Amino acid sequence: MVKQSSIEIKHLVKEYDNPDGSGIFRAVDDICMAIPRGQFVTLLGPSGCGKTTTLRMIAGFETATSGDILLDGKRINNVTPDKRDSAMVFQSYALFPHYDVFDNVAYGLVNKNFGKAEIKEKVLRMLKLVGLEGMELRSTNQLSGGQQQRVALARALVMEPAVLLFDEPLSNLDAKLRTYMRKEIRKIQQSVDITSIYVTHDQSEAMALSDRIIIMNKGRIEQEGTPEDIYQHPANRFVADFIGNANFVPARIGAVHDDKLEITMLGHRFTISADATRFEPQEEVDIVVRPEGVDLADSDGIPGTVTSSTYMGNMQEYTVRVGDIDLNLEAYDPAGIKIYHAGDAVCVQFRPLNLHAIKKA
Amino acid sequence: MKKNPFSSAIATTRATFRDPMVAISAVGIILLLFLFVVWPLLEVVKQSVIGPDGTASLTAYFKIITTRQNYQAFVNTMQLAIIVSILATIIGFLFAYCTSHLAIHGKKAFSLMAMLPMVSPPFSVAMSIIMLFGARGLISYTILGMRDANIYGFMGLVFTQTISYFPIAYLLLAGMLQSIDPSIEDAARDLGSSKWRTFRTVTVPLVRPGIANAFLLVFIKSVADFANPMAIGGNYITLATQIYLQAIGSYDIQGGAAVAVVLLDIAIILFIISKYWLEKKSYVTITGKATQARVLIRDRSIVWPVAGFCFLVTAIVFLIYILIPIASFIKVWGMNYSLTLDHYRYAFDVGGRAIKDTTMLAIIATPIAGLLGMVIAFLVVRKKFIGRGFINFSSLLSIAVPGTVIGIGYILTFNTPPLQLTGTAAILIAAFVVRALPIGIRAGVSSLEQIDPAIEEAAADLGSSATKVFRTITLPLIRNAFFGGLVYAFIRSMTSISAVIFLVSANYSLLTILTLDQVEDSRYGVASAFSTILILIVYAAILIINLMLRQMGSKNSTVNHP
Repeated sequence: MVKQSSIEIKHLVKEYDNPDGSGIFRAVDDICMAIPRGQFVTLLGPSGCGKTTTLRMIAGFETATSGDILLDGKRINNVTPDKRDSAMVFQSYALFPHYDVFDNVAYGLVNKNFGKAEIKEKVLRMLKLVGLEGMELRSTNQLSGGQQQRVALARALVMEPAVLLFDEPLSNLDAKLRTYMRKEIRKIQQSVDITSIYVTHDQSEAMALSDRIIIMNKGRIEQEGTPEDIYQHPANRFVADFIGNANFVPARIGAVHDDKLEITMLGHRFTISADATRFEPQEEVDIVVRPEGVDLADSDGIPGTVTSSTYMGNMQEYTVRVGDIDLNLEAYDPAGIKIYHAGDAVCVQFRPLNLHAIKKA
Repeated sequence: MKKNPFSSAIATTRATFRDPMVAISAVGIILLLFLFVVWPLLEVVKQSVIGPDGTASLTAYFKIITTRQNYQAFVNTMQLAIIVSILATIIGFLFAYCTSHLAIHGKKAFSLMAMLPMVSPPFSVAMSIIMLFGARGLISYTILGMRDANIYGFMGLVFTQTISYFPIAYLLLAGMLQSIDPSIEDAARDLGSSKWRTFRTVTVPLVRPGIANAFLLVFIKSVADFANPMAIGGNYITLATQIYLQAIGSYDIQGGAAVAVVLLDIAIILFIISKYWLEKKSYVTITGKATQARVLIRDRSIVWPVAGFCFLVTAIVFLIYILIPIASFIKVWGMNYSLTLDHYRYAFDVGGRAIKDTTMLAIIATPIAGLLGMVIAFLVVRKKFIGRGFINFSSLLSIAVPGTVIGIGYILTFNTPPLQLTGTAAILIAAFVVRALPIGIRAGVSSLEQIDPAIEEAAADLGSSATKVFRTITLPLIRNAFFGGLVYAFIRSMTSISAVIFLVSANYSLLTILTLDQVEDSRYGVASAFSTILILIVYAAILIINLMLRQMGSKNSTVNHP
């Protein structure tokens, strides 16, 4: 049912005049990306990173200052939103409050000059797909947040667009519903296999939904890759910090091999895998240590002192002082393991697989 | 045991009235509102159903239907109101759309322009239009050389009222258009709608309740308008002028009261429709969540005609208002355009006492109206007691009641004992206060609703009585609304005419009424001089009130530690 399209963005720039008239502000600063057919890509970043502006340029609401937006190889910069083959799911849902559910979903089809019978058939089929069967005569303010979300999704999907755009669609839902809806969105997206671009600042949403994540900061792309890539091999401190929690431990590189580095960290030597072309011998680096990537034991390892220990149910949270570094660590399923308390002496065991070197900021 | 809703209301009232000051002010306000709003209106109604022989009779109503003059006044009023409301709503909408949706510079001129009718003396627009388009008008006579151009009557009134009232529609619709979530319009565009279809199927339907409300508000204003029909109506009599002509001109108070009841009914019905039906229908809800800012339209084929029209109208409005001070220095408008100070000399000669009286009465009325407004707002928003509904309703009622109706009601009520007030300053002050109160209350209510009641509860918890809470916490927090209310009350009192024209006596003389005398004699130079003096007094007062506001410290200083 869906035409699959690819999107390509080349050197896209968006500049605004500063409101106080003091020059210009670059909201999007020369970004490039290519999104192949059928892929679900998330633009992830803190607020003000340019992700929503990028999305709105793809939809046509904002005009690019320079650069190209290509849909299936054709430049669409100068096409107005109504003529662009994209459909957006808005953060506020943007349902038409003066129409009922049916008319909301049918609204775009009327623009495409479909016949009445065809519109009805399409709308009902779509409402069934999103799980709103029998609700077509409800007014939108009679719906729960999750249901409104589904109407917004149905209204976009029924257009059979080339690309589906999501602008933080789950941010108005409560935590449980958010988790549920993101599974639903992923399921529906996969069942219709439509190229999708999703904007969020919520890293777990990005992880759960995406084939690929593009991390943005200050109008630029920091890194792109699969969720695993980005979590395990963050390109820099910003990415490591933004995705999940991270400890940054200073280290010095000894020898550099093809895909291995020898490092000295906390006075101990480790051999870790890395893209060796990026580093040089004797370079000072930071080692990203994820909180769950470290074991605590009574002996064997680097000695330290537990300074805080908090029971969280699914895990035990520790702060352990090693040398002059405070490490934040997490031990999952604390029911089955030994619990340390503040003041306890403990040995920290790093697993080389979980050590990842990044350049000093 | 079943709960008796009445007994629980008594219990609530008793709890609220544990603080004697709350009880005293609530009861006092109920009494005042009854005396000066409800009772006079009841008198009007009563008078209209009592025959000349003192028995119950509907003669007065039959007279309205059967007297050609009254019937004509009714038809005129409705016809005028419908035309003016349509025009003012359309123009107001264009201005509002311009402000909220178009990328243009100079929007500040619009809001400045929208303020003008509020701070200007009555007759300003009517006089300017006569001076521009009348028999000796600058445009009609001096420039175009037309003989006997006649602007008096229907056309002149439509022009005058539309210019005076479209800013009301503009302000209301601008607020509504601005609070539409831009994503909804974006969504329509995203789903393939052209700009025009988006406008037609999304933007307009979303503000439809606002459009209806703007229409009604202008309608109420037009129906209640007294000054313009007096100045430029000519033979085109409306209900408001008919009440005056009947009651004061023909000494037929009962007949005047009957006409007043008709006017009152129209105004109240429209007000109730607007307040209780339309305000509930609004789609535009403020979610409080900041979404995307609206991308303003830059398309020249839309911006140029719409903005062009709005700037043209704005220029005309400014011209109309600037004409008044200019005319006050012109020897004989339309005949001799040389400069003179004669009008001012004459104005101070004849009107010296009026200037003093008007200013003094307004100065007395202003703090009363301002403080009363805030206290009423506080009681209505924060306290629960029997009679709260009455306070709320009767204070809002005075928005809807046309001034002429209040005026005739005051004559009927206060001409005779038990409360004989005619001829005193008190009755004029009461009229000023009642006319100025509703806007102050509204401003107070809306700013109180934004303040967390927990702040006041904290003050009470820390040992403040209700009076002290109001004085040290509530009033400072709603200071801006309070001072806004003061400014408004002063302007409203200085420019008031429709109610007080029934109440003036040999003891007190008012500027607006002297102005009307001059306008009726076509002595626009003196009338303009009076109006200019009035404007100067008003601006001086605004300046002083603003200085007082600054004296009390900027917004932050109450929060910051010294």
